[in-house]
Amino acid sequence: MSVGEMVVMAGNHLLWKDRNPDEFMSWSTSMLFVIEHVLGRSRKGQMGCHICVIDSRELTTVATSTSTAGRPTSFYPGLELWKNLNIIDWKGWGNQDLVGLHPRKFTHEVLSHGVSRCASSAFRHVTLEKLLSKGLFEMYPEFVIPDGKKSTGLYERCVALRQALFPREDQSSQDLEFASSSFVNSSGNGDLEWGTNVVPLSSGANSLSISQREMELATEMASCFANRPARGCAAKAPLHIFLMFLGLRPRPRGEPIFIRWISEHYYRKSLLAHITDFTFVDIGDSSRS
Amino acid sequence: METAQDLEEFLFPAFTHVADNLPEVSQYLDLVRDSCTALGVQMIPDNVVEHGIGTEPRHRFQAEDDRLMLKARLYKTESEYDDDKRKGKHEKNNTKSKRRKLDIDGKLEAPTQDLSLPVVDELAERMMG
Repeated sequence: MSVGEMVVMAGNHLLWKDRNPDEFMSWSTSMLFVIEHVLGRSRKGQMGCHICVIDSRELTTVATSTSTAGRPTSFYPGLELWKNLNIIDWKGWGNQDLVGLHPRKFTHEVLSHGVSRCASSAFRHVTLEKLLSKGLFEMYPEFVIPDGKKSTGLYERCVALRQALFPREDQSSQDLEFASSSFVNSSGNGDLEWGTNVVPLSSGANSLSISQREMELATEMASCFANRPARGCAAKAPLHIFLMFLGLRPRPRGEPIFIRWISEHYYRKSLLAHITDFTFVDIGDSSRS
Repeated sequence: METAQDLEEFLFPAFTHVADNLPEVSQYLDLVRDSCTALGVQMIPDNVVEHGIGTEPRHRFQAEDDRLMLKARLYKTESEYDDDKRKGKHEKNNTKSKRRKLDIDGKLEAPTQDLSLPVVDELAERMMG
């Protein structure tokens, strides 16, 4: 393969073109992006949407025409790939492609190349329905789209969600529109109903707090990603995923209720196991692999 | 590995580098810091906030979001949706015709450097290093 072919392949992958000759798979460091992406696919009627979390240190290559087996899989930050391959300089991109290839869109994206093998202990996934049934919309009603409205594009949605969830001082609260309706799960059969009366857990987009209920909901959702527990034991919510779910709003530093929760529910080794490297969340579906 | 900095880089390779348009990742790292306090684990380094890539002003992250998407919408009406869909189709067609023209003019030739395994490895080292 020539460098030029790699440039075109990587660029088309970053543009979500779903070309056949695509050897990349995308991952994300942003739980916000991943949730919105999977919700978007679900809104378009795609079945079986799920979120997959891997331990990137545990992936190894398999033998193909371009790789040998058993080596640790390399993960390339999207921005570094964009920069080192000079993707933006290829003359074949149209105006719309150049908009799509703006580097700010890849700040959360990490790509692996080729086929990888993942030990089952390092691979955790959960369906969207499961997360919804555990209170995703109760905790973050901003993700809900009211009846009669249509979603904006994925990137615009992500920017708008960040503006709603993390308002800055220079943004007037009147500028921020977000859903006041929220989600009700009907009797565990996976059907979704949309209600309008549920009050957000935080008193408003500007609130800076952590409630006991939010920590319980984040734990419930993170528990879905736990490895199968031994018989008779409850599934333990992985610490880093719990923190990702809790971190979708501004939180005060050193909140006593949070410090107490962590010291009561986790051991040092739970934290040490994850801060020695970053864990990525799958943002692709099979067609992007 | 000789200094504390070396150890830090080994333990946290680019772990706390975060783009300025990802507040959720910054917040996650702050919760990790509070967890370090709660569990008595060595504190991770401060965030290194990245505002853009390269020297071109148009390749900034948050600043470009502010310029282009200050009024980003969470949702739109049916009629706005239909308008955007029509506009999207028009732009897609323009892109296709531009690519076809460049193809005819012979401007889409790929460089001939072979990207065999050693080259992929070198690329990986350059990016990771």
